[in-house]
Amino acid sequence: MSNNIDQPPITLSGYFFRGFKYAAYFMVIAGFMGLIYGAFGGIWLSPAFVAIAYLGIFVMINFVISIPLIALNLPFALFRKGSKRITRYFIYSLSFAIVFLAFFALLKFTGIEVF
Amino acid sequence: MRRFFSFFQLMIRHQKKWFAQWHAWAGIFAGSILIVVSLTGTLLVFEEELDVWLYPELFEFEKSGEVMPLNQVFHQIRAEHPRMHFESIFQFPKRNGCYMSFYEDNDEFRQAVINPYTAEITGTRVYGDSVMGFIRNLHRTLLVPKVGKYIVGIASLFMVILMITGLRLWIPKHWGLIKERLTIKKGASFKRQNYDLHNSLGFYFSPFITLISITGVAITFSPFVVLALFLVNFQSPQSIGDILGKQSTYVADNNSLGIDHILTIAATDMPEAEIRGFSIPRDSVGVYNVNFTEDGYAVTGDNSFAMYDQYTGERLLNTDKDFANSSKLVLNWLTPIHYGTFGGMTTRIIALLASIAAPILFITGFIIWWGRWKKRHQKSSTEDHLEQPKSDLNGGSNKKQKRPVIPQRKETVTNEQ
Repeated sequence: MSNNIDQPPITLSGYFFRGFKYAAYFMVIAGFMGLIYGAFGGIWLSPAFVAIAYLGIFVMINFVISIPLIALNLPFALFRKGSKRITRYFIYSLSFAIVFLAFFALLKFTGIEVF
Repeated sequence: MRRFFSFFQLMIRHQKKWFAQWHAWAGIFAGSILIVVSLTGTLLVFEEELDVWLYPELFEFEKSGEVMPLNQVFHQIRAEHPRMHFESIFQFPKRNGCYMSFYEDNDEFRQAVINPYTAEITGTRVYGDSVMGFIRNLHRTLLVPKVGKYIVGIASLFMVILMITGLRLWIPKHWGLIKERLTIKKGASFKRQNYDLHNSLGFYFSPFITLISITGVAITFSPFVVLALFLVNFQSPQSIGDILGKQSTYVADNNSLGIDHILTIAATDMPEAEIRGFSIPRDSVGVYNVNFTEDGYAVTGDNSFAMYDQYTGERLLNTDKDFANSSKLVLNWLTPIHYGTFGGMTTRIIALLASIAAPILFITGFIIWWGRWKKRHQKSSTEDHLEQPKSDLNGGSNKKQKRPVIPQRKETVTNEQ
């Protein structure tokens, strides 16, 4: 039976970096999905970028939704009554948003015409 | 409300991991809706071909001579049918290359099918009343007015959740078990084969179903998607109305330029473009819309368009040049990915197979869930039976009876690391 009894609890920054890791997984898997779909049509790169971009759009929408939630939770959190789940959700959303925003920034500032 | 939730809690109690619970929840909530959406989607992959097959009287033309130019056909039908008030005309290559013109009649949006060789109208219809129109409405709205499309959109979002959590569930505990997750065991019991079919089919079709679902969500919630696109392009948000609501600058006593003039300007403006359709201004500040495809730009989507001022012919918008790279995601890729049209017949067949695979996944998933739920339900009934006081079992004696003691297993803590 596995347990984490000897491991310290994950800190907020721990969740933050874990979010980066998960976001990277999601990005790679989405790209791979697009690549496979595109490969059947003989178009390799564009569908991969399209898949990441669409996922990225929903990641950004999710992040926007998480902002009012954390704002509502913040006053409670100051008195140690806040929901840890909401805090964790916001941290994950933020780290996902940062990773995908970096992708969109790369597309914009390098001027790659993939769509 | 609590009863409602506890009922659903009971339905997913057999799942221990949070992603397994989400998988079960999403399947229970969206399964039946997604079966309808997927099956109608299967037909919509070949919507135009099926429409031609179902209504040959509208789309079968004798190929005599050259195809007439769009503007010439437009002038001819307007002259021959002045009551129809045609406002736009488009070419439909997959519907035997016919032209279609659109007009409003008694608050109904009607389409007229036109022979591209003779400019003769072969028939008019309200598309929603045709077979494929009905299927399209069922697919998009479940025939529920107003809220239907949001129900479908949310169900598609559940489908994305189902695919993500399903892939997480698919990952075997040991990589040695990978073969079991990719194949169906021959000669095994029905239960096992059903489980294998769910796992393997889900894995193989996950890229296509995920992408078709995510674009489905984007189609339903396109205003939010467009706003988010501005956000990710580091631009201030604008609504679709602001982007597409361009207007001509009204000049009193000045006649509007004709469509022939505008098409000449468009041809000079975009020498490599192939014009696929246009619409004329509705009022004194309306604009001309010209739809086109241009090599190197909208290879996949056929959704590029330009807007021109009706008095000066000035180009107000060209989606290929004025829109940011990421914005072309919606115009050029949204429906082609959803219907699989971006890569020709192969990707359309892939989209068709993915739409067939989705209902199979729901049925096999339901069989897996049903078996586990029944087992769990029986187990909890037995436990309840054991925990019940003997007085109840023996016909209701009021004497206090000792409950059977269920021995508690001591949890031993071992550190595997």
